[in-house]
Amino acid sequence: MRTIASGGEPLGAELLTWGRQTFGLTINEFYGQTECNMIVSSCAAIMPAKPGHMGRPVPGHEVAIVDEQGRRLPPGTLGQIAVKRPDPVMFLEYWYNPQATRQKFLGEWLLTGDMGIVDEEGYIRFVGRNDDIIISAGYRIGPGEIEDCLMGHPAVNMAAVVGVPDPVRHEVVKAFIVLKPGYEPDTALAEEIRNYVKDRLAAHEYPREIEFVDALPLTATGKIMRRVLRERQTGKSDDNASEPPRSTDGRQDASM
Amino acid sequence: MLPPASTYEELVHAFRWDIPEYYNIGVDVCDKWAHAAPDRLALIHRQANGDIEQFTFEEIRQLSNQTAHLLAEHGIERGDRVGVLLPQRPETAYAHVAIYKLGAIAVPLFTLFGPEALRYRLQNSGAMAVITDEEGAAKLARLRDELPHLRVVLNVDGRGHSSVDFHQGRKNQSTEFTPVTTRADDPALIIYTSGTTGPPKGALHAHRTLLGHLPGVEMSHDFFPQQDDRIWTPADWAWIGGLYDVLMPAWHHGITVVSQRFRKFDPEAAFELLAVLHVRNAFLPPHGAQDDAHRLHALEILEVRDAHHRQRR
Repeated sequence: MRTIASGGEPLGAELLTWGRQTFGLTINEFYGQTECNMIVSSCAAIMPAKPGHMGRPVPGHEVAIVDEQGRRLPPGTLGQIAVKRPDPVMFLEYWYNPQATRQKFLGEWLLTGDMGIVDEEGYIRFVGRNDDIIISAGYRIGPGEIEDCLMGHPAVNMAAVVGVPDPVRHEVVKAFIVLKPGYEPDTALAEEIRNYVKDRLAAHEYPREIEFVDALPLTATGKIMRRVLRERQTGKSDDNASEPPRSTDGRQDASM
Repeated sequence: MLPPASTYEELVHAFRWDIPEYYNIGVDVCDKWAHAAPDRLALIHRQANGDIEQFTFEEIRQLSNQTAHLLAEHGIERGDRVGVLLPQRPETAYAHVAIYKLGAIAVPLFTLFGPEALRYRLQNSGAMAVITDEEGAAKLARLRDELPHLRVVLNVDGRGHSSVDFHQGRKNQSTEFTPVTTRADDPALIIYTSGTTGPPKGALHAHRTLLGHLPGVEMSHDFFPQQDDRIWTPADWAWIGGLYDVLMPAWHHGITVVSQRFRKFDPEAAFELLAVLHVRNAFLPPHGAQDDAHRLHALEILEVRDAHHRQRR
C-alpha cells in the first residue's frame, strides 16, 4: 500500500496509529460533503498529521470558519465551516428546491452546517453539526425522512428521531415514539417498528434504539425539540440548552 | 492538477485551477484514455464467486457507447435523468460514462434503499430510465404505478419484473457514439442528501465537479497518481465518496480501479483483495463502508482482524 485516505467522519488517533503499524503509512483524513466535497485534507507527504484535525484547506478552495453573519472568525474560535463561491467542486443547486438552495448560502459563503475550529497553522478541527443531522457509521442521516416513515406505522402517534452517541458508529439513530391508544409499548412492537423502517426506507437508517414515551417536548408552535431529547441522552441539564451543538462524539467541548 | 511541492505553503502558492469552458466527464475519464492508451487497464472487478473480469479503457469506451445508444433508443436525451440503482460492478461504471456522454443527468441510487426512499428520489428527479439489477427491478416493479415519468427499467441481470434486458439491448448497438458537447457548467448528476426537516434534497452537480474534486483527491493520496498506483474503496459507488473520491478521479488520471461488491464486509477478503490485486491506494471510511445493516466498519474491522492475526503469530 502507498496511501490510505479516510473521510466521512473524524478519524481517531488510534486508527492513525494502527495505519502506521499495519501498513507503515499515515492515513490522510479529508473532509467534504455531497454539495461541496474534498475541500480540506491532510497530506502526510508534505505536512504532519494532527490527530483530531481533518487537515488544511485543499489548494483552490477557500475554506473559513464564519459566524452567523458570515464574518470570518479568527483561529481558536468556534464557528461554522464555510466555503467561498464560486468553486469548481461546488454543486449548482438543489433539484427543484430554490428555497433550500438559498438557505445553503450566506453572501459569498456556502454553509456546510458543520461546526469547526481552525488553529494558527490553518488545520481545521470538526466539532459537530449545527442542526439535527445524525452522523452514523459514515452516513449523514436526516431525521425528517425517518420520522415520516415512522408516522406511517399504525401504532405510531408521534415520533422524533435524534442521534445518540455510540462508541463504534459515532452516533446511532434513536426514535422516541408516542403510541396511539390501545398499543402496548413492548419489545415485540419495538422490533416490529424497527423492521418497518428497515424494509421501507433503507437498511442503513432505521432506528437501532426505540424508546416509548408518553409525550414529546414541543415548542410553542408545535415543533419537536430534538435538542431536548438529545440532551436527555447525554445527561446534560437544560442549562446548556442555549449552548452551541455538542460534538458528535458526545463530549461537550470545552471551547464552546 | 496539483503542482509538485515540498511544503503546504508552496503547494497553495503554485496551484491554479484549469477549468475549460467545454468539458464532459465521460469523455475525460474514458474516451481520452481509450485514444491515448487503449489497452490500459481501467477496471479489475472481482465477482462474488471470485472470478476476475478486466476492462481496458477502449473496452469501457465501446461498452459506454453501446449503453448511450441503448438509452437514446429508449428516448433518453440531453438533460433527462437516468437512475443507476446498482452496487459496485462494471455496468455501474460504464453506465455513468454513457449518461455523461449523452449529456443526460445520472442519479446514483443506493441498493439498500427501500421502496419509500426510492419512490421519493425517482419522483423528485423525474427519472425516465433506471439501470438496475434483478433485485432493483423487483423493487421498482412494485413502484411503477407511482412513477409516471419512468419509461424503462434496464436490467443488467435479465428481464424479470417487467424490465428490459440491458445486455441484450446493448449488444445490438454500435460501439461508436459521438459524445454531446457539454459546457463545464452543464448538469451531470444529482446525488441526494438528507435534510434536517422534510425530504432529502437532490444536489445537482455540473461536469466541472470532477475537476473540482481532483486537488483534494490528489492531496489525500500524497500526490496521486504515482507510478503503479491502483485504487480501491469499499464505499459504494452510489455515494459521492465511492464515485467522485475514487472511481471518476482515478479514471481521469488513467489509473486502474479495483472493485468488488461486499454484501457483508469481510476483512479477510479485504486484506486478500489488497494483496492479490496489488492495490496501492484505498479510500476507507472510518466506520461505515457501504452496508451498515451488516455492521460494516472497514477500518475498525480491519484493525480488529489484524490484532487477532498478530496475537496468533
